[in-house]
Amino acid sequence: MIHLHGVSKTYPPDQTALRGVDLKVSEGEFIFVAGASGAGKSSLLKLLFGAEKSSTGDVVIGGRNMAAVGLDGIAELRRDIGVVFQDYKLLPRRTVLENVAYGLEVLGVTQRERNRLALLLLHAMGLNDRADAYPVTLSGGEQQRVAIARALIRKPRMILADEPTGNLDQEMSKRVFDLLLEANSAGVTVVVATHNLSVIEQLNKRTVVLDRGKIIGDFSHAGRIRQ
Amino acid sequence: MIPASSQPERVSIGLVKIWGEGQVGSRVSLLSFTRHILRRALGNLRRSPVTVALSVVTISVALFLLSTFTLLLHNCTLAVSREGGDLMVMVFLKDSASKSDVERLSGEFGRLMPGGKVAFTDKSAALKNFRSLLGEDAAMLEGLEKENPLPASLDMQAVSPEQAEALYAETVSRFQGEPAVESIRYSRGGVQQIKKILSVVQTAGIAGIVFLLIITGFIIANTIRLALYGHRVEIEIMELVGARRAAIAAPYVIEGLFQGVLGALVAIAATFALFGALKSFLAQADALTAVFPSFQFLGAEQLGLIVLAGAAVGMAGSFLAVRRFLSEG
Repeated sequence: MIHLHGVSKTYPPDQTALRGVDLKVSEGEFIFVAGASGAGKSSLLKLLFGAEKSSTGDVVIGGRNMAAVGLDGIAELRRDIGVVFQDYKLLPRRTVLENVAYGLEVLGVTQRERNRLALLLLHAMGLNDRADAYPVTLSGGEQQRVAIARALIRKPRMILADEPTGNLDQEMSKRVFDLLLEANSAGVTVVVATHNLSVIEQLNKRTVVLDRGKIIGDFSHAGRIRQ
Repeated sequence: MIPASSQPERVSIGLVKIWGEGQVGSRVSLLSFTRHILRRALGNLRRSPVTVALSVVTISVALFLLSTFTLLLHNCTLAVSREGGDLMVMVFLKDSASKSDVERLSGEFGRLMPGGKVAFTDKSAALKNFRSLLGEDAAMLEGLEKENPLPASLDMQAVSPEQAEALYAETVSRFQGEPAVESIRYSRGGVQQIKKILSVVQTAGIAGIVFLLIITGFIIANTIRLALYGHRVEIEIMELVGARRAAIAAPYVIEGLFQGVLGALVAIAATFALFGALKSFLAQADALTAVFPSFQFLGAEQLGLIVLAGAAVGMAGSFLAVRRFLSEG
Protein backbone atom coordinates (compact mmCIF):
# COMPACT_ATOMS: atom_id res chain seq x y z
CA MET A 1 0.00 0.00 0.00
CA ILE A 2 2.75 2.46 1.00
CA HIS A 3 6.35 2.16 -0.09
CA LEU A 4 8.92 4.85 0.72
CA HIS A 5 12.44 4.37 -0.55
CA GLY A 6 15.29 6.71 0.37
CA VAL A 7 12.90 9.61 0.86
CA SER A 8 14.19 13.00 1.90
CA LYS A 9 12.31 16.25 2.19
CA THR A 10 13.95 19.64 2.42
CA TYR A 11 12.04 22.91 2.69
CA PRO A 12 13.65 26.05 1.36
CA PRO A 13 16.13 27.39 2.14
CA ASP A 14 17.69 24.36 3.84
CA GLN A 15 15.33 22.95 6.48
CA THR A 16 15.51 19.18 6.25
CA ALA A 17 12.36 17.45 7.53
CA LEU A 18 13.05 13.88 6.40
CA ARG A 19 16.34 12.10 5.67
CA GLY A 20 16.60 8.82 3.78
CA VAL A 21 13.33 7.33 5.00
CA ASP A 22 12.59 3.71 3.98
CA LEU A 23 9.19 2.39 4.95
CA LYS A 24 6.74 -0.27 3.79
CA VAL A 25 3.15 -0.42 5.01
CA SER A 26 0.93 -3.29 3.88
CA GLU A 27 -2.72 -2.97 2.93
CA GLY A 28 -4.95 -3.20 6.00
CA GLU A 29 -2.15 -2.43 8.44
CA PHE A 30 -2.45 -0.07 11.43
CA ILE A 31 0.73 1.86 12.07
CA PHE A 32 1.78 4.64 14.40
CA VAL A 33 4.40 7.19 13.37
CA ALA A 34 5.85 8.44 16.64
CA GLY A 35 8.35 11.14 17.48
CA ALA A 36 8.80 14.45 19.19
CA SER A 37 7.55 17.70 17.70
CA GLY A 38 9.62 18.54 14.61
CA ALA A 39 10.69 14.92 14.10
CA GLY A 40 9.10 14.88 10.62
CA LYS A 41 5.79 13.08 11.31
CA SER A 42 3.58 15.66 9.60
CA SER A 43 5.97 15.96 6.65
CA LEU A 44 5.81 12.20 6.21
CA LEU A 45 2.00 12.26 6.20
CA LYS A 46 1.95 15.15 3.73
CA LEU A 47 4.02 13.07 1.31
CA LEU A 48 1.50 10.23 1.66
CA PHE A 49 -1.50 12.29 0.54
CA GLY A 50 0.36 14.32 -2.06
CA ALA A 51 0.35 17.66 -0.25
CA GLU A 52 4.12 17.72 -0.72
CA LYS A 53 6.56 16.06 -3.10
CA SER A 54 9.71 14.39 -1.84
CA SER A 55 13.00 16.16 -2.55
CA THR A 56 14.70 12.82 -3.27
CA GLY A 57 13.62 9.18 -3.20
CA ASP A 58 10.39 7.43 -4.21
CA VAL A 59 6.98 7.66 -2.57
CA VAL A 60 4.76 4.92 -3.97
CA ILE A 61 1.11 4.80 -2.86
CA GLY A 62 -1.14 2.01 -4.09
CA GLY A 63 1.41 1.19 -6.82
CA ARG A 64 1.64 4.79 -8.09
CA ASN A 65 4.85 6.78 -7.80
CA MET A 66 3.80 10.17 -6.46
CA ALA A 67 6.57 11.95 -8.37
CA ALA A 68 4.82 11.03 -11.63
CA VAL A 69 1.26 11.74 -10.49
CA GLY A 70 -0.26 15.02 -11.75
CA LEU A 71 -2.69 17.24 -9.86
CA ASP A 72 -5.79 15.42 -11.08
CA GLY A 73 -4.07 12.13 -10.28
CA ILE A 74 -3.52 13.33 -6.72
CA ALA A 75 -7.18 14.32 -6.49
CA GLU A 76 -8.08 10.81 -7.69
CA LEU A 77 -5.78 9.29 -5.09
CA ARG A 78 -7.26 11.39 -2.29
CA ARG A 79 -10.69 9.96 -2.99
CA ASP A 80 -9.32 6.75 -1.52
CA ILE A 81 -7.68 8.49 1.43
CA GLY A 82 -9.32 9.98 4.50
CA VAL A 83 -7.22 12.63 6.21
CA VAL A 84 -7.80 13.63 9.84
CA PHE A 85 -6.06 16.55 11.54
CA GLN A 86 -5.58 17.69 15.10
CA ASP A 87 -7.47 20.92 14.29
CA TYR A 88 -10.36 18.96 12.67
CA LYS A 89 -10.64 21.23 9.58
CA LEU A 90 -14.43 21.40 9.63
CA LEU A 91 -16.33 23.99 7.63
CA PRO A 92 -17.59 26.52 10.18
CA ARG A 93 -20.57 27.67 8.12
CA ARG A 94 -21.87 24.18 7.51
CA THR A 95 -23.80 21.97 9.88
CA VAL A 96 -22.44 18.71 11.23
CA LEU A 97 -24.55 16.78 8.72
CA GLU A 98 -23.27 18.91 5.83
CA ASN A 99 -19.67 18.55 7.00
CA VAL A 100 -19.92 14.76 7.10
CA ALA A 101 -21.72 14.67 3.75
CA TYR A 102 -19.12 17.02 2.24
CA GLY A 103 -16.80 14.13 1.47
CA LEU A 104 -19.44 12.84 -0.94
CA GLU A 105 -20.57 16.26 -2.19
CA VAL A 106 -17.43 16.86 -4.26
CA LEU A 107 -17.94 13.45 -5.84
CA GLY A 108 -21.38 14.49 -7.09
CA VAL A 109 -23.36 12.05 -4.94
CA THR A 110 -26.97 13.24 -4.76
CA GLN A 111 -27.92 15.33 -1.75
CA ARG A 112 -30.54 12.83 -0.62
CA GLU A 113 -28.07 9.95 -0.77
CA ARG A 114 -25.22 11.73 0.97
CA ASN A 115 -27.52 13.01 3.72
CA ARG A 116 -28.90 9.51 4.22
CA LEU A 117 -25.44 8.01 4.57
CA ALA A 118 -24.21 10.88 6.76
CA LEU A 119 -27.19 10.46 9.08
CA LEU A 120 -26.60 6.72 9.29
CA LEU A 121 -22.99 7.33 10.25
CA LEU A 122 -23.83 10.09 12.75
CA HIS A 123 -26.50 7.90 14.30
CA ALA A 124 -24.07 5.03 14.67
CA MET A 125 -21.58 7.39 16.30
CA GLY A 126 -24.18 8.79 18.69
CA LEU A 127 -24.01 12.23 17.08
CA ASN A 128 -27.38 12.24 15.32
CA ASP A 129 -28.83 14.79 17.76
CA ARG A 130 -26.00 17.17 16.72
CA ALA A 131 -26.66 16.82 12.98
CA ASP A 132 -28.06 20.33 12.61
CA ALA A 133 -25.53 21.97 14.93
CA TYR A 134 -22.59 24.03 13.71
CA PRO A 135 -19.05 22.86 14.55
CA VAL A 136 -18.38 25.80 16.88
CA THR A 137 -21.05 24.48 19.29
CA LEU A 138 -19.42 21.03 19.52
CA SER A 139 -16.79 19.81 21.98
CA GLY A 140 -13.31 18.99 20.65
CA GLY A 141 -14.05 15.27 20.82
CA GLU A 142 -17.29 15.68 18.92
CA GLN A 143 -15.59 17.80 16.26
CA GLN A 144 -12.87 15.19 15.79
CA ARG A 145 -15.46 12.42 15.46
CA VAL A 146 -17.27 14.51 12.85
CA ALA A 147 -13.97 14.90 10.98
CA ILE A 148 -13.42 11.15 11.15
CA ALA A 149 -16.99 10.55 9.98
CA ARG A 150 -16.26 12.80 6.96
CA ALA A 151 -13.20 10.68 6.21
CA LEU A 152 -15.02 7.37 6.73
CA ILE A 153 -18.18 8.10 4.77
CA ARG A 154 -16.27 7.66 1.50
CA LYS A 155 -15.16 4.13 2.43
CA PRO A 156 -11.45 5.04 2.05
CA ARG A 157 -8.68 2.53 1.48
CA MET A 158 -6.44 4.46 3.83
CA ILE A 159 -6.84 6.90 6.71
CA LEU A 160 -4.03 9.29 7.60
CA ALA A 161 -4.42 10.93 11.01
CA ASP A 162 -2.09 13.67 12.21
CA GLU A 163 -2.24 13.93 16.02
CA PRO A 164 -5.97 13.12 15.95
CA THR A 165 -6.30 13.17 19.74
CA GLY A 166 -3.86 15.97 20.47
CA ASN A 167 -6.59 18.21 21.88
CA LEU A 168 -8.78 15.53 23.45
CA ASP A 169 -9.17 14.03 26.91
CA GLN A 170 -8.66 10.32 27.56
CA GLU A 171 -12.31 9.31 27.15
CA MET A 172 -12.67 11.16 23.85
CA SER A 173 -9.31 9.83 22.63
CA LYS A 174 -10.56 6.32 23.25
CA ARG A 175 -13.72 6.91 21.24
CA VAL A 176 -11.69 8.36 18.35
CA PHE A 177 -9.31 5.39 18.33
CA ASP A 178 -12.25 2.98 18.57
CA LEU A 179 -13.44 4.43 15.26
CA LEU A 180 -10.00 4.15 13.65
CA LEU A 181 -9.62 0.58 14.89
CA GLU A 182 -13.03 -0.39 13.54
CA ALA A 183 -12.14 1.09 10.15
CA ASN A 184 -8.89 -0.89 10.29
CA SER A 185 -10.81 -4.07 11.15
CA ALA A 186 -12.87 -3.44 8.02
CA GLY A 187 -9.68 -3.46 5.92
CA VAL A 188 -8.73 0.22 5.92
CA THR A 189 -5.01 0.98 6.22
CA VAL A 190 -4.52 3.43 9.09
CA VAL A 191 -1.46 5.63 9.64
CA VAL A 192 -1.52 7.73 12.81
CA ALA A 193 1.14 10.33 13.58
CA THR A 194 1.37 11.01 17.30
CA HIS A 195 3.76 11.85 20.08
CA ASN A 196 1.41 10.34 22.69
CA LEU A 197 3.26 7.26 23.95
CA SER A 198 0.47 6.10 26.24
CA VAL A 199 -1.94 5.78 23.30
CA ILE A 200 0.68 3.81 21.37
CA GLU A 201 1.26 1.51 24.31
CA GLN A 202 -2.43 0.99 24.90
CA LEU A 203 -3.18 -0.04 21.30
CA ASN A 204 -0.01 -2.07 20.92
CA LYS A 205 0.34 -1.67 17.13
CA ARG A 206 3.34 -1.41 14.83
CA THR A 207 5.17 1.85 15.53
CA VAL A 208 7.77 3.69 13.51
CA VAL A 209 9.80 6.22 15.49
CA LEU A 210 11.20 9.31 13.81
CA ASP A 211 13.91 11.54 15.19
CA ARG A 212 15.10 14.63 13.31
CA GLY A 213 13.75 13.23 10.07
CA LYS A 214 15.27 9.75 10.32
CA ILE A 215 13.61 6.48 11.25
CA ILE A 216 15.36 5.32 14.39
CA GLY A 217 13.10 2.38 15.16
CA ASP A 218 10.39 0.22 13.63
CA PHE A 219 8.62 -1.84 16.26
CA SER A 220 6.04 -4.46 15.56
CA HIS A 221 4.68 -4.05 19.09
CA ALA A 222 4.64 -1.01 21.30
CA GLY A 223 6.19 -2.84 24.24
CA ARG A 224 9.77 -2.36 23.06
CA ILE A 225 9.56 1.35 22.40
CA ARG A 226 10.45 2.51 25.91
CA GLN A 227 13.52 0.28 25.77
CA MET B 1 2.59 -3.59 26.94
CA ILE B 2 -0.93 -3.70 28.29
CA PRO B 3 -2.53 -7.16 28.29
CA ALA B 4 -5.53 -7.38 25.95
CA SER B 5 -7.78 -8.44 28.83
CA SER B 6 -7.14 -5.19 30.70
CA GLN B 7 -7.95 -2.93 27.71
CA PRO B 8 -11.34 -1.21 27.86
CA GLU B 9 -14.02 -2.70 25.61
CA ARG B 10 -14.20 -1.26 22.11
CA VAL B 11 -17.45 0.26 20.89
CA SER B 12 -18.40 -0.68 17.34
CA ILE B 13 -20.60 1.55 15.17
CA GLY B 14 -21.24 -1.07 12.49
CA LEU B 15 -19.11 0.65 9.85
CA VAL B 16 -19.14 -2.28 7.42
CA LYS B 17 -22.94 -2.38 7.47
CA ILE B 18 -23.13 1.38 6.79
CA TRP B 19 -20.71 1.11 3.89
CA GLY B 20 -22.79 -1.76 2.56
CA GLU B 21 -25.82 0.57 2.53
CA GLY B 22 -24.10 3.21 0.45
CA GLN B 23 -22.34 1.89 -2.64
CA VAL B 24 -20.84 5.36 -2.79
CA GLY B 25 -18.56 4.85 -5.75
CA SER B 26 -21.36 4.21 -8.22
CA ARG B 27 -23.59 7.14 -7.29
CA VAL B 28 -21.89 9.97 -9.15
CA SER B 29 -24.38 11.89 -11.26
CA LEU B 30 -23.45 14.62 -13.73
CA LEU B 31 -26.72 16.47 -13.16
CA SER B 32 -26.22 16.44 -9.41
CA PHE B 33 -22.60 17.53 -9.86
CA THR B 34 -23.66 20.46 -12.08
CA ARG B 35 -26.33 21.45 -9.56
CA HIS B 36 -23.69 21.31 -6.85
CA ILE B 37 -21.37 23.63 -8.81
CA LEU B 38 -24.21 26.11 -9.49
CA ARG B 39 -25.34 26.03 -5.85
CA ARG B 40 -21.80 26.74 -4.72
CA ALA B 41 -21.50 29.64 -7.17
CA LEU B 42 -24.78 31.16 -5.97
CA GLY B 43 -23.74 30.57 -2.36
CA ASN B 44 -20.47 32.45 -2.98
CA LEU B 45 -22.38 35.34 -4.55
CA ARG B 46 -24.82 35.54 -1.63
CA ARG B 47 -22.05 35.39 0.95
CA SER B 48 -20.09 38.39 -0.33
CA PRO B 49 -22.54 40.93 -1.79
CA VAL B 50 -20.20 43.93 -1.35
CA THR B 51 -17.35 42.27 -3.25
CA VAL B 52 -19.78 41.16 -5.95
CA ALA B 53 -21.22 44.69 -6.21
CA LEU B 54 -17.71 46.14 -6.59
CA SER B 55 -16.87 43.70 -9.39
CA VAL B 56 -20.16 44.37 -11.16
CA VAL B 57 -19.62 48.15 -10.98
CA THR B 58 -16.08 47.79 -12.35
CA ILE B 59 -17.26 45.65 -15.25
CA SER B 60 -20.19 48.00 -15.86
CA VAL B 61 -17.92 51.04 -16.16
CA ALA B 62 -15.64 49.32 -18.69
CA LEU B 63 -18.56 47.90 -20.67
CA PHE B 64 -20.44 51.21 -20.53
CA LEU B 65 -17.50 52.81 -22.31
CA LEU B 66 -17.44 49.91 -24.75
CA SER B 67 -21.14 50.16 -25.52
CA THR B 68 -21.02 53.97 -25.78
CA PHE B 69 -18.21 53.60 -28.26
CA THR B 70 -20.18 50.95 -30.14
CA LEU B 71 -23.23 53.22 -30.14
CA LEU B 72 -21.29 56.11 -31.69
CA LEU B 73 -19.58 53.86 -34.19
CA HIS B 74 -22.89 52.24 -35.09
CA ASN B 75 -24.51 55.60 -35.80
CA CYS B 76 -21.52 56.94 -37.71
CA THR B 77 -21.60 53.81 -39.88
CA LEU B 78 -25.32 54.33 -40.44
CA ALA B 79 -24.67 57.94 -41.40
CA VAL B 80 -22.05 56.88 -43.91
CA SER B 81 -24.33 54.29 -45.47
CA ARG B 82 -27.12 56.87 -45.64
CA GLU B 83 -24.72 59.16 -47.48
CA GLY B 84 -24.89 56.42 -50.08
CA GLY B 85 -27.76 58.48 -51.57
CA ASP B 86 -25.15 61.10 -52.38
CA LEU B 87 -22.57 58.66 -53.64
CA MET B 88 -23.14 59.96 -57.06
CA VAL B 89 -20.66 61.07 -59.68
CA MET B 90 -22.44 63.61 -61.87
CA VAL B 91 -21.14 64.43 -65.34
CA PHE B 92 -22.74 67.72 -66.46
CA LEU B 93 -23.16 67.98 -70.20
CA LYS B 94 -22.85 70.98 -72.45
CA ASP B 95 -26.07 72.21 -74.08
CA SER B 96 -24.41 71.30 -77.36
CA ALA B 97 -24.20 67.61 -76.46
CA SER B 98 -26.17 65.55 -78.95
CA LYS B 99 -28.33 62.51 -78.30
CA SER B 100 -25.59 60.28 -79.74
CA ASP B 101 -23.05 61.89 -77.32
CA VAL B 102 -25.36 61.03 -74.45
CA GLU B 103 -25.75 57.43 -75.59
CA ARG B 104 -22.00 56.98 -76.17
CA LEU B 105 -21.00 58.48 -72.81
CA SER B 106 -23.72 56.55 -71.02
CA GLY B 107 -22.35 53.30 -72.47
CA GLU B 108 -18.77 54.15 -71.50
CA PHE B 109 -19.74 55.15 -67.96
CA GLY B 110 -21.69 51.91 -67.60
CA ARG B 111 -18.55 49.94 -68.46
CA LEU B 112 -16.61 51.87 -65.78
CA MET B 113 -18.85 50.61 -62.98
CA PRO B 114 -20.24 47.13 -63.52
CA GLY B 115 -23.31 46.69 -61.32
CA GLY B 116 -23.79 50.44 -60.89
CA LYS B 117 -26.52 52.60 -62.42
CA VAL B 118 -26.17 55.41 -64.98
CA ALA B 119 -29.17 57.74 -65.37
CA PHE B 120 -29.67 60.63 -67.74
CA THR B 121 -31.25 63.80 -66.37
CA ASP B 122 -32.22 66.23 -69.13
CA LYS B 123 -32.37 69.97 -68.61
CA SER B 124 -36.12 70.10 -67.85
CA ALA B 125 -35.82 67.19 -65.36
CA ALA B 126 -32.91 69.02 -63.70
CA LEU B 127 -35.07 72.12 -63.33
CA LYS B 128 -37.92 70.05 -61.95
CA ASN B 129 -35.61 68.45 -59.38
CA PHE B 130 -34.29 71.85 -58.41
CA ARG B 131 -37.83 73.14 -57.98
CA SER B 132 -38.75 70.31 -55.67
CA LEU B 133 -35.55 70.89 -53.69
CA LEU B 134 -36.46 74.56 -53.19
CA GLY B 135 -40.00 73.67 -52.10
CA GLU B 136 -41.92 76.85 -51.19
CA ASP B 137 -39.14 79.01 -52.61
CA ALA B 138 -39.54 77.47 -56.06
CA ALA B 139 -41.53 80.53 -57.15
CA MET B 140 -38.29 82.39 -57.77
CA LEU B 141 -37.59 80.02 -60.66
CA GLU B 142 -40.68 81.29 -62.53
CA GLY B 143 -39.90 82.12 -66.13
CA LEU B 144 -36.81 80.00 -66.35
CA GLU B 145 -38.54 77.30 -68.44
CA LYS B 146 -37.72 79.16 -71.64
CA GLU B 147 -34.08 79.82 -70.81
CA ASN B 148 -33.30 76.94 -68.51
CA PRO B 149 -29.71 77.54 -67.20
CA LEU B 150 -29.38 74.09 -65.62
CA PRO B 151 -27.32 71.55 -67.57
CA ALA B 152 -28.35 68.01 -68.43
CA SER B 153 -26.30 65.35 -66.65
CA LEU B 154 -25.34 61.70 -66.63
CA ASP B 155 -25.58 60.51 -63.00
CA MET B 156 -23.54 57.49 -61.92
CA GLN B 157 -24.78 55.92 -58.69
CA ALA B 158 -21.95 54.06 -56.88
CA VAL B 159 -22.61 51.34 -54.32
CA SER B 160 -19.90 52.35 -51.84
CA PRO B 161 -17.81 55.42 -51.01
CA GLU B 162 -14.72 53.53 -52.21
CA GLN B 163 -16.31 52.78 -55.59
CA ALA B 164 -17.54 56.36 -55.90
CA GLU B 165 -14.06 57.73 -55.29
CA ALA B 166 -12.45 55.38 -57.79
CA LEU B 167 -15.15 56.18 -60.33
CA TYR B 168 -14.71 59.91 -59.86
CA ALA B 169 -10.94 59.67 -60.35
CA GLU B 170 -11.34 57.50 -63.45
CA THR B 171 -14.04 59.73 -64.96
CA VAL B 172 -11.99 62.87 -64.41
CA SER B 173 -8.88 61.35 -65.95
CA ARG B 174 -10.72 60.03 -69.00
CA PHE B 175 -13.52 62.50 -69.70
CA GLN B 176 -12.35 65.88 -68.42
CA GLY B 177 -11.93 67.92 -71.60
CA GLU B 178 -14.37 65.79 -73.61
CA PRO B 179 -16.23 68.23 -75.97
CA ALA B 180 -19.67 67.18 -74.70
CA VAL B 181 -18.69 67.37 -71.00
CA GLU B 182 -19.15 70.64 -69.08
CA SER B 183 -17.87 69.47 -65.66
CA ILE B 184 -17.61 66.47 -63.34
CA ARG B 185 -18.76 66.62 -59.71
CA TYR B 186 -18.80 64.22 -56.78
CA SER B 187 -20.48 65.01 -53.42
CA ARG B 188 -17.76 63.48 -51.31
CA GLY B 189 -17.24 66.17 -48.67
CA GLY B 190 -19.66 64.75 -46.07
CA VAL B 191 -18.60 61.18 -46.65
CA GLN B 192 -14.92 61.98 -46.30
CA GLN B 193 -15.54 63.88 -43.09
CA ILE B 194 -17.51 61.06 -41.53
CA LYS B 195 -14.94 58.56 -42.69
CA LYS B 196 -12.27 60.57 -40.90
CA ILE B 197 -14.35 60.69 -37.75
CA LEU B 198 -15.00 56.96 -37.98
CA SER B 199 -11.34 56.20 -38.42
CA VAL B 200 -10.34 58.26 -35.37
CA VAL B 201 -13.17 56.87 -33.25
CA GLN B 202 -12.35 53.34 -34.31
CA THR B 203 -8.61 53.49 -33.67
CA ALA B 204 -8.71 55.39 -30.40
CA GLY B 205 -11.83 53.62 -29.20
CA ILE B 206 -10.66 50.09 -29.89
CA ALA B 207 -7.26 50.71 -28.26
CA GLY B 208 -8.91 52.30 -25.23
CA ILE B 209 -11.53 49.60 -24.83
CA VAL B 210 -9.05 46.74 -25.18
CA PHE B 211 -6.91 48.39 -22.52
CA LEU B 212 -9.96 48.88 -20.28
CA LEU B 213 -11.10 45.29 -20.73
CA ILE B 214 -7.65 44.00 -19.77
CA ILE B 215 -7.61 46.23 -16.69
CA THR B 216 -11.13 45.05 -15.84
CA GLY B 217 -10.00 41.44 -16.18
CA PHE B 218 -7.20 42.07 -13.69
CA ILE B 219 -9.51 43.87 -11.27
CA ILE B 220 -11.94 40.95 -11.41
CA ALA B 221 -9.05 38.52 -10.95
CA ASN B 222 -7.99 40.36 -7.81
CA THR B 223 -11.55 40.67 -6.51
CA ILE B 224 -12.11 36.94 -6.97
CA ARG B 225 -8.72 36.27 -5.40
CA LEU B 226 -9.80 38.16 -2.29
CA ALA B 227 -12.95 36.05 -2.21
CA LEU B 228 -10.81 32.92 -2.60
CA TYR B 229 -8.76 33.85 0.46
CA GLY B 230 -12.04 34.06 2.34
CA HIS B 231 -12.84 30.51 1.20
CA ARG B 232 -9.37 29.05 1.63
CA VAL B 233 -10.45 26.59 4.37
CA GLU B 234 -13.22 25.27 2.16
CA ILE B 235 -10.86 25.02 -0.81
CA GLU B 236 -8.28 23.23 1.33
CA ILE B 237 -10.91 20.74 2.45
CA MET B 238 -12.15 20.29 -1.10
CA GLU B 239 -8.59 19.43 -2.13
CA LEU B 240 -8.28 17.05 0.82
CA VAL B 241 -11.41 15.13 -0.08
CA GLY B 242 -10.24 14.70 -3.65
CA ALA B 243 -12.04 17.42 -5.59
CA ARG B 244 -10.48 17.99 -8.99
CA ARG B 245 -9.08 21.43 -9.75
CA ALA B 246 -11.78 21.95 -12.35
CA ALA B 247 -14.46 21.20 -9.75
CA ILE B 248 -12.86 23.65 -7.32
CA ALA B 249 -12.48 26.35 -9.97
CA ALA B 250 -15.87 25.94 -11.70
CA PRO B 251 -18.04 27.75 -9.08
CA TYR B 252 -15.68 30.73 -9.10
CA VAL B 253 -15.59 30.86 -12.89
CA ILE B 254 -19.40 30.76 -12.91
CA GLU B 255 -19.37 33.51 -10.29
CA GLY B 256 -17.17 35.58 -12.64
CA LEU B 257 -19.50 34.79 -15.54
CA PHE B 258 -22.50 35.99 -13.53
CA GLN B 259 -20.73 39.20 -12.50
CA GLY B 260 -19.68 39.81 -16.11
CA VAL B 261 -23.19 39.33 -17.49
CA LEU B 262 -24.74 41.47 -14.74
CA GLY B 263 -22.12 44.17 -15.36
CA ALA B 264 -22.92 44.07 -19.08
CA LEU B 265 -26.66 44.45 -18.43
CA VAL B 266 -26.05 47.43 -16.14
CA ALA B 267 -23.76 48.94 -18.80
CA ILE B 268 -26.42 48.46 -21.49
CA ALA B 269 -29.05 50.11 -19.28
CA ALA B 270 -26.72 53.08 -18.67
CA THR B 271 -25.96 53.32 -22.39
CA PHE B 272 -29.67 53.33 -23.14
CA ALA B 273 -30.11 56.24 -20.75
CA LEU B 274 -27.23 58.07 -22.46
CA PHE B 275 -28.78 57.26 -25.84
CA GLY B 276 -32.06 58.89 -24.77
CA ALA B 277 -30.21 62.02 -23.65
CA LEU B 278 -28.15 62.19 -26.86
CA LYS B 279 -31.20 61.70 -29.02
CA SER B 280 -33.05 64.61 -27.47
CA PHE B 281 -29.88 66.74 -27.73
CA LEU B 282 -29.51 65.88 -31.42
CA ALA B 283 -33.16 66.72 -32.04
CA GLN B 284 -32.37 70.28 -30.96
CA ALA B 285 -29.08 70.62 -32.85
CA ASP B 286 -29.88 71.21 -36.53
CA ALA B 287 -26.33 70.75 -37.77
CA LEU B 288 -25.99 67.34 -36.16
CA THR B 289 -29.48 66.26 -37.23
CA ALA B 290 -28.26 66.56 -40.81
CA VAL B 291 -25.44 64.09 -40.08
CA PHE B 292 -27.48 61.76 -37.86
CA PRO B 293 -31.06 62.09 -39.17
CA SER B 294 -32.24 59.08 -37.15
CA PHE B 295 -30.02 58.32 -34.18
CA GLN B 296 -30.45 54.62 -33.41
CA PHE B 297 -29.77 52.39 -30.39
CA LEU B 298 -27.59 49.29 -30.75
CA GLY B 299 -28.94 46.24 -32.53
CA ALA B 300 -29.52 42.82 -30.94
CA GLU B 301 -26.26 41.49 -32.37
CA GLN B 302 -24.19 44.30 -30.84
CA LEU B 303 -25.96 44.02 -27.50
CA GLY B 304 -25.28 40.29 -27.56
CA LEU B 305 -21.60 40.97 -28.19
CA ILE B 306 -21.42 43.35 -25.21
CA VAL B 307 -22.99 40.73 -22.93
CA LEU B 308 -20.55 38.19 -24.37
CA ALA B 309 -17.61 40.53 -23.69
CA GLY B 310 -18.78 40.92 -20.07
CA ALA B 311 -19.12 37.16 -19.68
CA ALA B 312 -15.69 36.55 -21.22
CA VAL B 313 -13.93 39.15 -19.07
CA GLY B 314 -15.65 37.87 -15.91
CA MET B 315 -14.81 34.24 -16.63
CA ALA B 316 -11.23 34.95 -17.72
CA GLY B 317 -10.57 37.08 -14.61
CA SER B 318 -11.97 34.40 -12.30
CA PHE B 319 -10.12 31.62 -14.08
CA LEU B 320 -6.79 33.45 -13.77
CA ALA B 321 -7.43 34.12 -10.08
CA VAL B 322 -8.35 30.51 -9.26
CA ARG B 323 -5.46 29.09 -11.26
CA ARG B 324 -3.02 31.34 -9.48
CA PHE B 325 -4.57 30.65 -6.07
CA LEU B 326 -4.47 26.89 -6.52
CA SER B 327 -0.90 26.90 -7.78
CA GLU B 328 0.11 29.01 -4.76
CA GLY B 329 -1.82 26.59 -2.52
